Amino acid sequence: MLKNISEIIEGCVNRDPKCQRTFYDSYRHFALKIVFRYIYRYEKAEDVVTDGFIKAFDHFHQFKKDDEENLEKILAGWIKRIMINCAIDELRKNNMMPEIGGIPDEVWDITDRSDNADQLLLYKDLVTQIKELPPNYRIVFNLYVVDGYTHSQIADLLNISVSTSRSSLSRAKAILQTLLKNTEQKELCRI
Amino acid sequence: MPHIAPDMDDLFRKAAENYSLKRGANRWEEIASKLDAHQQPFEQGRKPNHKKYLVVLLFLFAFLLLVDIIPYTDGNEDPVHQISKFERPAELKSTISNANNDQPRQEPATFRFDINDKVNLIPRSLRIDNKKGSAYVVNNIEAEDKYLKARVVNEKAFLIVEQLQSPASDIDIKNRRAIELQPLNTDSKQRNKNARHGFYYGLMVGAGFTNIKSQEITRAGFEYGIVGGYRFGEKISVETGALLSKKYYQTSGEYFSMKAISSSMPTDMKIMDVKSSTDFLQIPIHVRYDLKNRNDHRFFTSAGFSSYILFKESNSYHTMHNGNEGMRYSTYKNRDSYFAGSFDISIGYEKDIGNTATFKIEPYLQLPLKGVGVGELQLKTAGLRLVLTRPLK
Repeated sequence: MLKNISEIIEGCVNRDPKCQRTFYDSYRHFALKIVFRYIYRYEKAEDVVTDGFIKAFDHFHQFKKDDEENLEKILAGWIKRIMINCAIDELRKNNMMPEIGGIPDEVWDITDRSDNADQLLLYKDLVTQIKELPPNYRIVFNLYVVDGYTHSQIADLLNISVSTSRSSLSRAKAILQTLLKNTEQKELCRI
Repeated sequence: MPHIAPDMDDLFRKAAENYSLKRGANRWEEIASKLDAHQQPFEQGRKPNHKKYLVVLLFLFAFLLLVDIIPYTDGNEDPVHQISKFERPAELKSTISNANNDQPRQEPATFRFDINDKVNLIPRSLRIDNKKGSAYVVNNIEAEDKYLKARVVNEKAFLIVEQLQSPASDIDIKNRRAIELQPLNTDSKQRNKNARHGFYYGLMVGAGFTNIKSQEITRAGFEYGIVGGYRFGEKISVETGALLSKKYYQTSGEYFSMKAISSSMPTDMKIMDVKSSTDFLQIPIHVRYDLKNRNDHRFFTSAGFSSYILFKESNSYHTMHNGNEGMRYSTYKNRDSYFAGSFDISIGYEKDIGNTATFKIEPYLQLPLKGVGVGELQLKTAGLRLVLTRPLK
């Protein structure tokens, strides 16, 4: 993806616009996919990604590139953390108010005509279900299940207790299980 | 629908990682413009800040300059009273003994003669205290009630600076002693004479307000740097310098030239107003004329031109596009130069400090001769400069 990740990082630390642009082009879709799991509306998710990159570029000097061999992985993890933080900040700003109205089809890119298409449809449905969760459950589910945070990290991040984190997760899972069953039944009825 | 995996967590994890989402709009321009606005605090915290080093150097320079200004004193020396420690020549003692020490203090009658540039040998009757060159007293007993103020050249020679005549009835002994005291290098007339021509250099700090076409002023800018000059005589000098300056200003869009930026703006976008902060290197060339030249202070006026090298211009544009208001931020680092960009006039007051230095306070006005920056704005600045100078030895 990046010819020389080390040079790009160095450039971003020194605020070289070319390197910043390369970094942005390389990671913007990755970032959008992370943020879109947390933020309900696509346009809002794009705004959060923009803010996230500004934050990243402003704090690039804090990025520690100790492990040269896994630099790309570390960088991806770093940008992921920033995006998650920005997304949570945005949700907090709106007092974790749930949003409704559905997600328009055009935001999904299901153009794959191969056998993979069904899989993509499934993934789309599953991500939609995550997004339909109430914001506080959605955050905990995303953090724990998808992004690999521990309950104590989630508790610190959200300023809640560990038990609240656990209970939020189990409620999120319960909701998702119900949603999955409903979806499965609908599919069976169609057949 | 494909079969749902029993491990729900794993299924959702896979979905989150592999779901397909439309690529978002490329918003790099928006990010870049916002980054420009954010860049300043980052640079201060991270990049080596050359301005800081420059300020430290200037302080060091000022310190060295001040060290030279502070007159040398030898601990407890009090030049006026130190004379009492001297042993008076026998001839003088008789005169002193007739004087009334309780007589009220009066200013001595002073008669000036042409200062004698000839080096005189110190007569035996002369007593000189030459303590580390701090002060000298010369009592010339041979000159019939006339007292010489003199500068000691060495142990055997002196240079008459001034002759005083003090009739015994007009002055008590204490005052007479004080008059006769001649600290080295503090004679302002002598210094003035020395300062009549030659190079000098110094430090300058200043602040000023910039406006465009008499519009609203935003905040005070500042400038600092080194100055230098050459004094041709008692009245005329030429001054220059290298000043780092920051100017803040704002303008309505009508005065902002779109020539340089129209290509990077949407066609229908209109600039309503612009706020700017600009970093310059300013190189003034001024001719100074001293209106009144006194022994230790002067009133002067000066006029000349300033040339500019623009380092950085940060603009915030308040825009209107299809009825929507918005903000755009841009930073330009073009390093454009403007020879004779402004006509400068000033008046000022200069005072001698210490042995060799001068301090001046100088209100000034800069009138635009050229449009500056991307918007080719006509910047008019009024401010105040404080300058510390000393002659170049």
